[in-house]
Amino acid sequence: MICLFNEFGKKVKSNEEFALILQKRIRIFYWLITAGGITAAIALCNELFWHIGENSWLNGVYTGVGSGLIFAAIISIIKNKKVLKDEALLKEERLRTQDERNRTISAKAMQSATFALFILSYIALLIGGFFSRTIFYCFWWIVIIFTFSYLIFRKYYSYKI
Amino acid sequence: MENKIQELRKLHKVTQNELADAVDVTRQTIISLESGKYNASLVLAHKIAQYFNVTIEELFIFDKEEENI
Repeated sequence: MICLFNEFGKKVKSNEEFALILQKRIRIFYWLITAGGITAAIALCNELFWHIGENSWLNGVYTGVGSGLIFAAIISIIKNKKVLKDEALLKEERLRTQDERNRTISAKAMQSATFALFILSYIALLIGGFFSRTIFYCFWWIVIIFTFSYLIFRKYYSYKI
Repeated sequence: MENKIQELRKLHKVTQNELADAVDVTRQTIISLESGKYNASLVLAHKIAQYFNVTIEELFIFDKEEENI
């Protein structure tokens, strides 16, 4: 998983190196199409054979998510292949993704969004507990997993940097 | 942080696009640097100083208390 993040975040100096990164990204998007297909297939199997849970709602969600993944991955593959064919577009995309200011903005946005998610999950946990233990535990585990993930990644980056 | 990037750029008759291309950043980054909204990393500061053939201390103005010992 770390390798995946590193692949997207790797700093490169030339268009040729960036083209290799784009090719790796395209391979990842093909995997996303597979994941989307599997998700939609699960919904179909549930509809036809398994009949687990609230059929129509869950099947609709899975079908939507699967279709969304497939559609987004196809668009991304087409876009990345178009960039690979054009040197000017390749350079523009390389500068856009590798630019240090853009990376700083992405990192700060992710940090703020994560913090907002943590706080809102905690509030939802407190309020949801009055209505449903299931809702309470869902948000409880989000808060716990977030806290432990933060501690683990902090330790990891303390050694790495 | 204040700097002399815009001043040096105009002196050398270089556009923001040309400077951005030369130091491998986007034009928006150069705009943010010139307005003082964004502080360059050490590597970027060094690249810009090299481009204009000046030192980092000549390019960036470290006049605030927290920027000095």
